[in-house]
Amino acid sequence: MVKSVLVIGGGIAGIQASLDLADQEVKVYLVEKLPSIGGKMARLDKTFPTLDCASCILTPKMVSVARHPNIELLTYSEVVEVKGSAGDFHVKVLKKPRYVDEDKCIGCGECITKCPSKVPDEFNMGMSQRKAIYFLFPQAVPLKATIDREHCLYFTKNICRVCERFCPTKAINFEQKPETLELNVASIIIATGYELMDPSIAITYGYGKYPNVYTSLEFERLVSSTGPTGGEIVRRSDNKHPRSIAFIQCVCSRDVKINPNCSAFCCMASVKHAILAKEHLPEVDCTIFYMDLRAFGKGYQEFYNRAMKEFGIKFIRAKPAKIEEDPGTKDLIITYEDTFTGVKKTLRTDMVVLAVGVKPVYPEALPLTVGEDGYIRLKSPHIEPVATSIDGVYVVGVAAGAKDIPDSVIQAGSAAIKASILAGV
Amino acid sequence: MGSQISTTILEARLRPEFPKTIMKLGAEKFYRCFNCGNCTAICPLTQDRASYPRKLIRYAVMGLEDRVTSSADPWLCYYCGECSDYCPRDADPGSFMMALRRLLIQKYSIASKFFFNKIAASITWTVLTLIAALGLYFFRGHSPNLEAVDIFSFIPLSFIHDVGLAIGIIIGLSALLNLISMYRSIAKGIPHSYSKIESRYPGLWVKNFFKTIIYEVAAQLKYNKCLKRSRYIAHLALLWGFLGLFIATLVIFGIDFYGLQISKVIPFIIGSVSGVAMLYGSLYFIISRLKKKEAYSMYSYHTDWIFLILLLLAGVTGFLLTIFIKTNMPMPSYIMFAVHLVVVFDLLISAPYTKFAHAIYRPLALWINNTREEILGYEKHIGR
Repeated sequence: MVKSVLVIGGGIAGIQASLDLADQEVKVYLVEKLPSIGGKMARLDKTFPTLDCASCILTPKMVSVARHPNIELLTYSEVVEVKGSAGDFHVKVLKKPRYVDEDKCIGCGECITKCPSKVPDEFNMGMSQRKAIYFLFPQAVPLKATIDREHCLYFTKNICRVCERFCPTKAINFEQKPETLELNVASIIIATGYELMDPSIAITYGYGKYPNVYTSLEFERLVSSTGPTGGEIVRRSDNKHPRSIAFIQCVCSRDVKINPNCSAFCCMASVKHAILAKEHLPEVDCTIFYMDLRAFGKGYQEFYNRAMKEFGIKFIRAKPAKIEEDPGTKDLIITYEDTFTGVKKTLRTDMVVLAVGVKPVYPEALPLTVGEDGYIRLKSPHIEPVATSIDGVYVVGVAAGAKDIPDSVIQAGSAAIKASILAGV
Repeated sequence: MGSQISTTILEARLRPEFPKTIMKLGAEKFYRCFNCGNCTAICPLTQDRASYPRKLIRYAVMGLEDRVTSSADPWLCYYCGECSDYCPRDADPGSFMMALRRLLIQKYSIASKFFFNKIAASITWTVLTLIAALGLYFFRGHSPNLEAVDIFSFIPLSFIHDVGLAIGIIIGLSALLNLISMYRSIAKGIPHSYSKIESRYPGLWVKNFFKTIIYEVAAQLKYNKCLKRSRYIAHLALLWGFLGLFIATLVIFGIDFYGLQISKVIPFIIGSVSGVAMLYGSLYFIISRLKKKEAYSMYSYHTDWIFLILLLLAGVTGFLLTIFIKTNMPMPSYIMFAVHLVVVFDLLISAPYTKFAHAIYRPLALWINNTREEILGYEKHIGR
């Protein structure tokens, strides 16, 4: 009999691993801590180097996961305990209450329209608002509403219950309790991904202080048609189109005092952002400040060349020292040394986008060995590039080391094969 | 112009061992530099043309010794430490600039090696101290007044006068020679066409000479621009304390030796205030170097310590001497007088060759740099 496999994390890596396993008739439990799968890729507008629409690639995969007979999707859940060894792991999963009966909810969104409580939308990096009962994003899988207990008026002030009144299928259940599920799996794949570093650590850049300084992920939402402005690139300070945008690489990464690691995908992501900005606003001036432009993947150098030649994006080799704000116009003044000419200069720009470094996220329920770089240690990066220090436990995606989408997908496939062997395929 | 640049490049000699020389002078981490320019950009002092520290680090890493030693830029840095605080590689550019100043002092004057090489320095300091002590021993007065303090009955006034004058002339000449040597070093780094342009503005050079003396030496305005208040005040106290004591000593000597008709109260007040200032300044820097909290105080080379300790000792012995004289204690006064003279001798005779020499090199560098910046701006303005 073929045994089951647990996949932790429902981003592109976790999704790919689950599908590759399920297609081999392995039963997969896919655990995701947020109310929907999709991960960071769901937030992206386009992907480099082809500028393909990210959702067009990801959404069909998400739907396949939800529909696959061999995948049991456990969203809004976390792994709390793992015991046993390769071939026979005993896993406890905590299923957090959505206060919505998943079997009854049809995803009509009536409750969301009626809910009076507004909350900053984390999916849009707080740049727009959602309700206290919400879908993580419009294409969420599963498309089941979730009540955010912290902001729900019933839970905070014992009033309202409007959603309950309007729900056509009576799916709202304020009495729902956390549930613990016990699973028996042969292997575990960790695909827990990353969080961005806190860019306010780089104090000289004034993130959080100056409204027109953005993180790369914020900019990604800004250019996205599903984002807070419907794809209009406008400044936080005055809602006007910027005439110039500067992109600063290696913020909170490649800095031995903050985070020594290279985050691998930022160079190409920022080139992509600059191109997208040019596509949205052909008149905008785009400048990328970089230390080393790492265009290592297939088609990346060409992408970089295109940005320069076809889109006229300027590249300056410098790590800017500081950003200051003109208090009147809220424009930003960047101080840097152009290291090609050795001249110290300033650049006045309407908007700054910081390519913020990443830090890995990993499940605490597993006694994993973490390397000096802060990422889960691989058993052997060359010949066992997805194996961890624990037999039968594999790691894929950014949790194993910063990487982009294609590399994460490759690792996911590799781990799926390893896990399927333990499952007895 | 193009041909000039290429010839300079052709002439550049690579010395692979050069980076190690700098590392030994206290910049152990500059090799980590990945050349991002954060240091130059964050520096509150670096200007359009005088662009440092990154460029100098790059030259040093490549072993371009001549490029580094012909630069006056290390003297424009006051080591506020911002470059080191924000360096993404923790390469400590501030300590690199400090190490360059240690290197340049030795480059301008070969005699400085006697004070910078650790073994040579320990011998030099011993010999100097012995010369001073033996000199005092052989030329001391043979019947000092043991009833009431009369320090000149212990060390004859004429001896102090003659030796002091001789030492003064030696120091002055050495300083002048070192400044000429420094100028020649810097001149190597200036393209010929520049020097031609620069010689067109003699008035500007004269004006800037006085501006440098007033703004940069007397008021230390650049120092203030780049550092936290307390350190600026401590350095100002040290500078003016030293100068004040020097002036007070000269005035008292004028009264005693040349019979100047001035009340001794005035130099006494100047001396006391200056003494307190110098003690405060030297203690401030000694304590911060012991605490190692700021970038500039983390690494101390032996030359940093000796300079500060000599300044502190000169202040302390001077104070004790005054106390002993005022309380009329003959024997302690004489001993303290002798110790004070030895310390002051060590401090002054070595001045053109030790860290003390920054007092002459820095103003020259600032004078030349500020004038050049101005000329360049002017030339740009008239479109040449």
